[in-house]
Amino acid sequence: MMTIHSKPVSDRQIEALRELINIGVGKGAAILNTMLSSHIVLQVPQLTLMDMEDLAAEIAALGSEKLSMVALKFDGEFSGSAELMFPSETAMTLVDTLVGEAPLDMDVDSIRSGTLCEIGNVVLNGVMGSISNIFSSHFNYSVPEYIEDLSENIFLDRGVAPQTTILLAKTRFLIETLDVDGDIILFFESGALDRLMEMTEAI
Amino acid sequence: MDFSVVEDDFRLLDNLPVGICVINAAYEIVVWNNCLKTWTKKTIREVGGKTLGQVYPHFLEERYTARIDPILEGGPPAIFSSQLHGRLFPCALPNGKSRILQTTVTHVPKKDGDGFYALFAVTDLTEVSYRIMDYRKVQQKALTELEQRKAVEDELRKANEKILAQHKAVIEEERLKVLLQMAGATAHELNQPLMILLGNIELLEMDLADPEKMLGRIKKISEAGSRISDIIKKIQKVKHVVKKDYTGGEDIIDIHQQERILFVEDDLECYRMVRRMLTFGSQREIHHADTIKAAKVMVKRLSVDLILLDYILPDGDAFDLLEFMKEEHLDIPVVVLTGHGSEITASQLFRKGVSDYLSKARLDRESLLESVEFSLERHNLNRDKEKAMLVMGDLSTKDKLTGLYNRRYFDEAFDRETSGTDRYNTDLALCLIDLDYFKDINDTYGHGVGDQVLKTAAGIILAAVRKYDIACRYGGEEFALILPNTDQDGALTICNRIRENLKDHLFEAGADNFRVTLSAGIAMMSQNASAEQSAPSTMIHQADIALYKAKGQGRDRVILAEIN
Repeated sequence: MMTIHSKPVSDRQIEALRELINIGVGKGAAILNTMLSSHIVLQVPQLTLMDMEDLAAEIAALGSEKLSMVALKFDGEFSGSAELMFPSETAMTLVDTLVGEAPLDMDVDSIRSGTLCEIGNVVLNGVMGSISNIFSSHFNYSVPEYIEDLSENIFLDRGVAPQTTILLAKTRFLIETLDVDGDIILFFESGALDRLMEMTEAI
Repeated sequence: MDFSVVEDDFRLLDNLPVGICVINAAYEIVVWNNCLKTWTKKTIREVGGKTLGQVYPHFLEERYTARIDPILEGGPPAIFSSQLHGRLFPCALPNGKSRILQTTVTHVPKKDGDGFYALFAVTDLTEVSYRIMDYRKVQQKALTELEQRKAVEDELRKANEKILAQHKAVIEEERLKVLLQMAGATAHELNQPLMILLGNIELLEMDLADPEKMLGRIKKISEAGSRISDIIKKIQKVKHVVKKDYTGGEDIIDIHQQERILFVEDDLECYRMVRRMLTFGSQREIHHADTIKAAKVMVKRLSVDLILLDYILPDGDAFDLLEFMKEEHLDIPVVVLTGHGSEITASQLFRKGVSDYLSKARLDRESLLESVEFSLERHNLNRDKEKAMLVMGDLSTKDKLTGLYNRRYFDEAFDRETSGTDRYNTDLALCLIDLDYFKDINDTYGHGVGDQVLKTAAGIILAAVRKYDIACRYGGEEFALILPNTDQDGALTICNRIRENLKDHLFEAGADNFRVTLSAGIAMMSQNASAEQSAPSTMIHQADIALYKAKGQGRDRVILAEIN
């Protein structure tokens, strides 16, 4: 049993949530494969519920100086943000591999950040599509944005409330010989997760 | 669908500086703004009422529909990046290239709340894309050049390492040479007393009946022995050239003499660092000069063992000081410290006689100390070698052409043999031999034949004398024999044997054959000779007169000097 903000979350709920996200990730991977030169497999994500402090520790554990992130904010039934995060170097390798370019340098230029943004967009849309499917009403979305910063700063100035519930889904991009870990992070305003859980239960 | 009605709703978008296309759930184009019209060169009339797939068939592909369909149902926006979808809306540029575009598709809820439009916002990234591509090309080129430069530098470094290794090999060779030359010099020195020793031992048997003579022999043997022992003592005092073990680190500091090092360096920080490295736990005395000018003064004034020289100084470079030292005949080992990227100068520096060079970038204590010790040792070895060569020159006792002892040796040996302390009631004969008409041989047949005659005569002389006799080339065609323990009959016998053997020898010079004769004069020092009679100069004079007589009497003869 996991406990988030005093409300117990059952293994069954977690399992249902995982299923939901996995369907989304799978959709994303299927779309990526129609677009890209190399075949990509996205692994079934590992799910963890946490708070900001845990996330900070999780990010520190990545051991990377710079992080690249694609963020998709949403607003509707409840609001939050879906984000896909990589160490910047890994992100560039991923982009170069996916578009079939010989990795030249590790600079994140606007061409590469645009491409990474699109890849993130596809994965996150898959996930958000799954989530929004179980709600009758629609979400409003902001245009996905690319964020790059030092790992300790990446969530500063983003106005993430300390009591925000965070759903961390660790997945893995398997492309040919390349094996890239990426984290999908879902931030929910307080109370939103409970509703999501309820909806999940209802399915 | 009434195109004009929709157009009204989206009129605002017409003049935006981004391309805008709006489609409805059936993919029918409902908005095509001016910007997009200009870029694609397709008018509203051409696209109006058509579906996106009719205008651009690629929009029918799954990779687009799979992403656009959810938007038309209110799903999240989709980004079509410039790298993957730069030609989503094909736009040719006047230069033949394509405009590179990035497209963001968002949903727009219909007014009546019944479904969604999909709005394509197209931005032009052509310029930035080409600029980035150019930048990447430049970067690639720079990377390639950097790699090439690295390769060249690596090669240079390897070449320099090879030069260093060769220099080290030369040191080893020089060390051996010094030892060999010292050994050679010593052998020469030992030869003479050893001969006296052996000769006297041989003669000891003949004097068995005469205890007094025997005592004289024993005294000579003991004296020769003590001379040999003196020489051996001298050898043992010769400085041992011991190769130091540099790898140990600490032990190389353990040097007995205090070294005085002049460090020419304008960078104070570098000076302090090197000074620390050099003086750590050692007795080195470091002097500092910060210009070539100051270095020139100090190098002349101080007696410096080694110079550490920065390659570039405010008023010149290493070559200036090296040139100055050459002019001033200052023979001091120099280690040059080079800054960044001056690999190429290493071989030039070596050619100027620099012992070693070190890169400041890779400077550490171990390599610095190794270089300093290495340079000092190399320098000392050279000095030892020169000393040994000098000693060798002094000790050279043989005549090069004939292999007999030379005049210098004769003088020494004759002095010794005739001096009072060396005389123990034994006879001594001095023979001066001169080849007859030798000048004519040289003039007729040339110096080559003349030299051959001298060599042959020397061979005949050597074959006729005993081990302990001393045969010398006295001058041009003149020979001198010192015959110890020899009475006048013995001396005559030896000289006549030489005379006859030479006369018997048939020399060849081209088609000609010729013979050579000699004249000889013998002076005797008898057991009872007075000091004056036994003076070396007296004996030589007497032998000379006798030789002169032999020449006067028609040559080809041996004359014994008359005893007064």
